Amino acid sequence: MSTSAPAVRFQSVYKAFIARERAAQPILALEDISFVANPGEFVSLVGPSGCGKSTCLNLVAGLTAPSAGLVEHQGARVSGVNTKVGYITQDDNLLPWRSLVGNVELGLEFRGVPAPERRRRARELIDVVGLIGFEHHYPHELSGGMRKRASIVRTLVYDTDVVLMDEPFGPLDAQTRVILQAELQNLWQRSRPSVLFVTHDLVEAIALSDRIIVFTNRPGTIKREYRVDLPRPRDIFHIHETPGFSDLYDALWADIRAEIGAAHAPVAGERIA
Amino acid sequence: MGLGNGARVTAVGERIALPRPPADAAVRVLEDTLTRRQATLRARRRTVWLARLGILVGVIVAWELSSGTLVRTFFVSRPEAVAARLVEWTLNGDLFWHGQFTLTATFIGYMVGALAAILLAWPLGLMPRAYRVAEPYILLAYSIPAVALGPVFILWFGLELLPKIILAAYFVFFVVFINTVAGFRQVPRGLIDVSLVMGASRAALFRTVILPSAVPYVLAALRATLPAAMIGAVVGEFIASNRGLGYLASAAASEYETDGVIAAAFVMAVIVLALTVLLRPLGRVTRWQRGVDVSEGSL
Ligand SMILES: Nc1ncnc2c1ncn2[C@@H]1O[C@H](COP(=O)(O)OP(=O)(O)O)[C@@H](O)[C@H]1O
Ligand SMILES: [Mg+2]
Repeated sequence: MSTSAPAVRFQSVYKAFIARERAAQPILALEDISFVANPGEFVSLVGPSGCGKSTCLNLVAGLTAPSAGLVEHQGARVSGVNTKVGYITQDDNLLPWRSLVGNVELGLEFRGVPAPERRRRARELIDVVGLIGFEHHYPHELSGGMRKRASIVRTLVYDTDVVLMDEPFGPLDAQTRVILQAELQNLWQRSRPSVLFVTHDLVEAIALSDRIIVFTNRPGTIKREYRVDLPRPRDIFHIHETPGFSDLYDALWADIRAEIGAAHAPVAGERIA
Repeated sequence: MGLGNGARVTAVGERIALPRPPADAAVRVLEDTLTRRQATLRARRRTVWLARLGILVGVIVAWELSSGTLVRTFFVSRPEAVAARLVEWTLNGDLFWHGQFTLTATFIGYMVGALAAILLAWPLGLMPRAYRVAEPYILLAYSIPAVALGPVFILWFGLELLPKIILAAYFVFFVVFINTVAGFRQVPRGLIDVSLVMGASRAALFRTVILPSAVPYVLAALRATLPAAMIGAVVGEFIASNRGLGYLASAAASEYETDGVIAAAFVMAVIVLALTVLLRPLGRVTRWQRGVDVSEGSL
């Protein structure tokens, strides 16, 4: 963190898609998106589904290019696949033919880390998330929560300064979610990368973030930003008892509800009260 | 509120101590479940084999009863005549002498066809645009009935082993080719993207993601096409040959010896069955996945 450049910077980013190969009309997914994520900052993106949150992460990962505007990582324009960030996708995307440890070592292997060090680092993080004893299980032999842990650890094990996470706890049951949120907070505090975290769970966003960015309906624009000034480390299990939580939650929910309501407006152009 | 007076409702947060279940009860339940499951599986296996045997006996009995009564023996022969023919061929060595040619053509044709299919599918599966260019021609070639090509192959490649090998290879080629291409093309986009962001080079991506993902498709096709290879070899022998199991069958047919035709067909069926069982372990190479269905096209 020696430089003063933001870890990630969006500057007037637009993104248009053509939904199908022969569709005549492009659709606008992102409109004039500008924000930064500072080094070591945990930033959540929330907003109605289809508003372009995943697209933002794909832009930082260089898997897709902006139609207009600039996406920067550590002060450099992202062009082409960005191997300097970690990307934890919505699906766990584990290789089904590799054991847990084989999957966790994958990134280190691609990055040319020698085998003994690979083993050591993978094992250390597997231990942190309590998966020792399952190293040689294949993904289909693991529970949803275990696979999620594996996919998180697989990305954190090679220590990037920016980590992208796309609704990582979406399909999990309520108890597993909270446990994994607490584990994620611990893991994050070990090396303190910047995190861009997409979620639809407002409690989760408050519990984990330094800042929350609320998106509008498609085309996604930034509706508001919230600073989360709750002290760290946070007690994830009792976050809703923390002073200040309720006010923040209510404000966020009011914003989101307005967007969900707007999506169901019966007539195009009609004003929403 | 206490637990006295048989009260079942407790204050919030109060702990109710329940007696522990007897220690060995759970173990017994687990053991019983296992024993019962094993018994069920054994019974099911026995039923399947009995049913199979029943069908075989039924067919032979029906055949025996109808031959000479419902249908003229000339058309369907009789079980004992076919059995006699099999014994005769075994004792005079015809079975092994002819069998070796068919098996040789089957094996070489299978290898050649499968190898050619994989080597061609490899680049085409990885290059979607090249595949789109080639696709109509491949489908065109696939839609030519191989039997119609037989005489042409004989013309080009002579009367010996070569045209049989090529016919066998032809029967194998397309199924392996189509499935290998499908294997390369079905790799989930997410796996590729995630690997690229993790820093995979092109070579590493191919080795660690694309190839393993395609392997089950290739193996399923290899397993499914072995019988096809033998059909190809036999078709070649039918068209022009003086040896091989196909020749045995066609020679018997030209003499109107139905028992010989049935006996030869029976031998081929048994060989295909044995080869299929032999190849079964191929499927177990990939124990991380739960089976891929091979698409066999029009074969
Ligand atoms: N590759 C793509 N091709 C066409 N349309 C896309 C593509 N990716 C996203 N979109 C569209 O862009 C919009 C935003 O998508 P996404 O970023 O996935 O939203 P979110 O993650 O917020 O739910 C959606 O309307 C989606 O249909
Ligand atoms: Mg999304």
